[in-house]
Amino acid sequence: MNRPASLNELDAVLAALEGVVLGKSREVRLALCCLLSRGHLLIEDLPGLGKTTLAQSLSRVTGLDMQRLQFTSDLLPADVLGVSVFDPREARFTFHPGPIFHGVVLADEINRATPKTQSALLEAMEEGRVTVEGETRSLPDPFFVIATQNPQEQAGTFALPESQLDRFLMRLSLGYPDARAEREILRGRAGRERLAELPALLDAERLRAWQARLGSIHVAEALLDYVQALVTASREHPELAWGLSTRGALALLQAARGWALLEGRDHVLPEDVQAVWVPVVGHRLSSGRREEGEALARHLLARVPVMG
Amino acid sequence: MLSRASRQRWWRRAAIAPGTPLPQRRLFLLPTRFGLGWAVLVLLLLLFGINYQNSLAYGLSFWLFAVAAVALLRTWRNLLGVRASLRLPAETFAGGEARLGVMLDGGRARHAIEVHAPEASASVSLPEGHGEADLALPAGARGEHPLPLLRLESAWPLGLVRAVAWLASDETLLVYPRPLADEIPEHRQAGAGLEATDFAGLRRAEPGDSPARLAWKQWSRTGVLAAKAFSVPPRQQLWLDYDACRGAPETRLSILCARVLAHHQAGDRYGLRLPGVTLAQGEGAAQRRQALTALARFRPAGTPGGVR
Amino acid sequence: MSRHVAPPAVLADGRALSAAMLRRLFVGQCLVLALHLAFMPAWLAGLAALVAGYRYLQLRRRLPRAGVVLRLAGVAALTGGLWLHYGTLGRMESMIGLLLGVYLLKLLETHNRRDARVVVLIGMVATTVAFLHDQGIPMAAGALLAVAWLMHSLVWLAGATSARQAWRESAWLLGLAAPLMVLLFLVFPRIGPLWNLPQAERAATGLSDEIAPGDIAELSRSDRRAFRVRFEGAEPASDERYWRVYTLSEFDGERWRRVSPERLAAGLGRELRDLVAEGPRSPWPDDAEPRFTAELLLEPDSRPWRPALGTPLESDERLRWLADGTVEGLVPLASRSLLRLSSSGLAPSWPEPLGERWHTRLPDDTNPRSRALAERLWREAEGEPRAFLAALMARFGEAPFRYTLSPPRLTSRDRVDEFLFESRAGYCTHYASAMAVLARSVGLPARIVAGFLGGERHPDGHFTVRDYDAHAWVEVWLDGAWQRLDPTAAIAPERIEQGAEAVEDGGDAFLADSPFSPLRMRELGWVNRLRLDWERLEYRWQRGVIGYRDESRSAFLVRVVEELHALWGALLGLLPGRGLLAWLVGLALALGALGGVAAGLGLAWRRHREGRDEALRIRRLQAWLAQRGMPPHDGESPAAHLRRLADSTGAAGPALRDCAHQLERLRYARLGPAERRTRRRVLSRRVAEVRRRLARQGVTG
Repeated sequence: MNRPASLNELDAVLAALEGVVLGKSREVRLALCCLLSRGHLLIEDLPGLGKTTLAQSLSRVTGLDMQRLQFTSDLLPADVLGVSVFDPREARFTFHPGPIFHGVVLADEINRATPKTQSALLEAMEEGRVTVEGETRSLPDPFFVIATQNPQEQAGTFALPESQLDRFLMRLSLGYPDARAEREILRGRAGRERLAELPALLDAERLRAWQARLGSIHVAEALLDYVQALVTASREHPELAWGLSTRGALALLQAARGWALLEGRDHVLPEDVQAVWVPVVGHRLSSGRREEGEALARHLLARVPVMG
Repeated sequence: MLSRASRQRWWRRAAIAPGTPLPQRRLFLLPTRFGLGWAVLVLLLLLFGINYQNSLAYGLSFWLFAVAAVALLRTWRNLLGVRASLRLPAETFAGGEARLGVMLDGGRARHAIEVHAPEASASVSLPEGHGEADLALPAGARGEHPLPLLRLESAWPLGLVRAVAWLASDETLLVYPRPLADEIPEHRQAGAGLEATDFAGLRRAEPGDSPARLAWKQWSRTGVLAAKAFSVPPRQQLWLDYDACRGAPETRLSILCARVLAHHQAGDRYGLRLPGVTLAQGEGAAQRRQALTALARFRPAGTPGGVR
Repeated sequence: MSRHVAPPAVLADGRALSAAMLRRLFVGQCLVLALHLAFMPAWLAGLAALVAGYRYLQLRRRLPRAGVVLRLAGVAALTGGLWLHYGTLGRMESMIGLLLGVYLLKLLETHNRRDARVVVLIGMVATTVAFLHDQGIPMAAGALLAVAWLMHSLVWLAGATSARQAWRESAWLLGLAAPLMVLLFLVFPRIGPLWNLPQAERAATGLSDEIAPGDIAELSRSDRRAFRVRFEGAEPASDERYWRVYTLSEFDGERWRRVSPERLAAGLGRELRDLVAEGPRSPWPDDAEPRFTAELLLEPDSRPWRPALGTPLESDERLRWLADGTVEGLVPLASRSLLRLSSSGLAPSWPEPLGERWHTRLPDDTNPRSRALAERLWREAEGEPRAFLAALMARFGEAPFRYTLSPPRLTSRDRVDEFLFESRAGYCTHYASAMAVLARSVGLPARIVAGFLGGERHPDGHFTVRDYDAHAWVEVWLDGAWQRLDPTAAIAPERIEQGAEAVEDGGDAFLADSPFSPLRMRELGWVNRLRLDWERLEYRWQRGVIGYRDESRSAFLVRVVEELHALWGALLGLLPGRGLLAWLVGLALALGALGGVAAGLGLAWRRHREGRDEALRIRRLQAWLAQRGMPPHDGESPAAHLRRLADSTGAAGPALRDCAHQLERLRYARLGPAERRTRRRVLSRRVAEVRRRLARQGVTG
């Protein structure tokens, strides 16, 4: 298949990321896909498995500024969004933007914060702007949130409600690296050690151009048939309390477009849908354990035949 | 002439179950009165041709005869292999109507298929090979009823013959009591109480705010006086009790039914107490369904056989 | 409680017909009525409009439903109108009118589906009845249109939801039924009429059984067809095409009349069987051999006359053979029909049973100058009949006699005198009448023959004889036989050689009754060619389809059986052993052929569908692969399936990969039509290649 020459740019980005986040090429690809599709990413993992590294390398490679935000139970919405402070000299309120006003926001351990704070962040993510005290301020574009959360069983956490979960385009788990990759990390040839060496291969404008290009990727009727068949199957599945919403189906299509773009194609194939299916759909089907949702998603994928 | 009962028995034996494609031997062709008229017409034209030695009259009578033969086949083919499945009404109240959906899947385009129940009928065309006929059955008394025997019928394309098949389902139709609004003193009791102190964020303090609600911590940090806002759930908790109602058993059930509906609409938490059945307090659609089902299935003492 | 949900196009409230459906029924009525209108009173169209208007206003709720009184009044008005128009209700036309009127009035009480179907059924009957008027190609085409429309109305009534669907379904019905109709038409036995039915009155053709020279314009000059004919064997030369129809032997001084055998027998006190006999061949002793065998395609006519070239001798059906050497059918023709008739080409040669006296009768006191002239000529010819007749002919050939189709009127009682000595201008009947009177004056038995002369020869060999070919000539009893004598040949020989239109003097008079006839444009080459082509087509239609009778059916079946027999013979010749084995082989071959045809049709259908649906094609390939132990995994897309197999199937690998690639492009990429076609072609080639390679390898797993 002949790829347009400019796609080398995305290939280079991928190669650079894979050099840092070793042995996780699928996850890296999905993360980049999520960024291209203007979605947000939820990473669910134990601490110390490279979430931060992934976020930092993404922001470096794409040339976006990044802010890390550690969520705790006493974090208030104002701490995320920013506050209006009374300036006695000018005798008026001035807005101090919160950490959310960055290109890439790493929201660490989001499930430690109270629901109020969580929803403040998630609403901002959804809307792309922040309204504080009646004044609306736009967030930067591109705007990409990588939220991480610890597995649910951990004590002292507020689980994200399902209505909030589907604000994230994908939910991923990095998992333990394989033995070879871990050895490399231990040797210091990967991971954070090499972060500093990463070049900025894109900038905000290039990224916006790529994101715009997503819309021109062709989705055939046959593919819509397939997506609808999947959605219908999820709605009719006896073990599922509720099926995929239309927003979920739209998200799936958007992510599949991103994947097709990364594959260098100008049209979406069922394989693209299948590649993004589990991360996009898993958390929308079951708000409970991640493994449960993903198993259901895989089961559905196997059940629905691809016609043609 | 067969009696009504034995005809019913025979039809039941010839009936197919929902979900199976209609096989040849369960599909019957019956001539219509128009079909007999057509036969007379063909004969008339033939006699005309013979007596006037008129070749075109011969030709037309042969053509109409051939058309009838083709129409016979096409009528038969129109219904052959159709798969019917039932969609039970979401909820049915006694005295109302039960909207029974008959989903037909023909695999290819089918036309003008009629679905008949003893007291209702509907007609549907399947240009894309599938469609749904909506039968408005008059809902009988409260309780569980077997679904009536359905008749699929098609006289397409000319109405010379009818292709007929019967459809019998094992499923039952649950009929809720007829809701009967009644002015009864409120049985509301104060609930055990949720904490009515859901922290809902900060708002700009206004004169008159309780000092306990002021966010002193933020004031000391930012110099802005803000007030904490709390949300209070507007929910009531109550019990609906059979014994607290008056009247005949059916009347009481009707009253309870109306109240279940009303409290659900108001978003209250409620429980249901029937003799021998107790439904714990709860809320939401699931609670409503369980309460209505319990009312529908309830057998007042003294009627061991249940309703019908 | 029963609620009938019906498509809105047919029924507005579940029971009543919608306005759209009523409009469809009305259009159907108009189409059926159009078939009749050329033959029926035109006010029937007014009735249709009236009924439709009432129904429209009623739908708009401006008028109440038509009650019993109104409907009865409608029927009464209809009956009255027909009675006024035809003078009777017993005639075929009035009955047809009644049927049409009832068909139109029925719309008044058409409210539900059943009524509408009854209307359509009546429409079918009315369409068939139109075939009584005419069975030509235009009528058949019109009827086809009407039947298609009625059929499409029925499909609407059965629950169609769109016009497209209704037309599609009726096209399927009519199209699929057509082969069966043709088969039935060919093999259904044709039996004679079961009982007698009233026949439609036919306007007579230009031929008349009485002539009165001098009455203006009694000679028809229309181009209406009288009959068509094809000869088996020899064709007559142009001056031999004298079609004898009637002999006119009674002359009252003004007009010549034909006397029917019944009247003759009654008037002269003769036995009827001496004058007429029924049978398939002529009972009269004639010396002549049959020379011409004609296959006549006769137009319907209210009189049973049959034309014969000379003396009729033999036919393939029973006819009435008259002693004057003419022939009649047993019944008038209600529709065009075929007749085979062989004839001598000459006038009869047997003595007239009525005797010479009957054929020399003249009114005593008329035409004295003519009698005098005849006697003078007879003396000059010295009593030699041939010389006398030659002198008469020569006299007509000279000036001042001239041939014209618009002669002056003859008004006196002695018309022959007036013609011979004063006006001296006329056409065939004038000359024939004068000739016969002159011959009778001297005692030579003579009579006038009315018939046709000539006919237009078509390139395919059939002739059309038209009204303007009507002619009259004289037969004189001489030397023990009747001799044909045509005085017109002396005055206007081109009339005999080239036909009626050749007469120069004809000018304006020729085709005077047919101002728009295409025959007027003979000089325009292409119009003439078009006309000839159309007439050939029409002739074939009339002869092959309308004239298809039991004889044609038998001939056809015989031919089919012969063909089969020949095939069978060839088959037997191929096989060494005979008997049972041959039968078995024959049966097997027949079954094989049948199966082959069925399989071929199935394959063609599949090809057709696969050509349009690449997904279907690939699904079939996948099924084929699955049979060979290479099924797809759960949830695996076809392309992924093929690619996975490509790695393990060696030589078929590239083809499989290309299949997958083409499929993906066809199904999911944005393609122009040209590229789509190309890729479909490539895909079908690749699929074939995969099957070929894998079949050769016999790979499993």
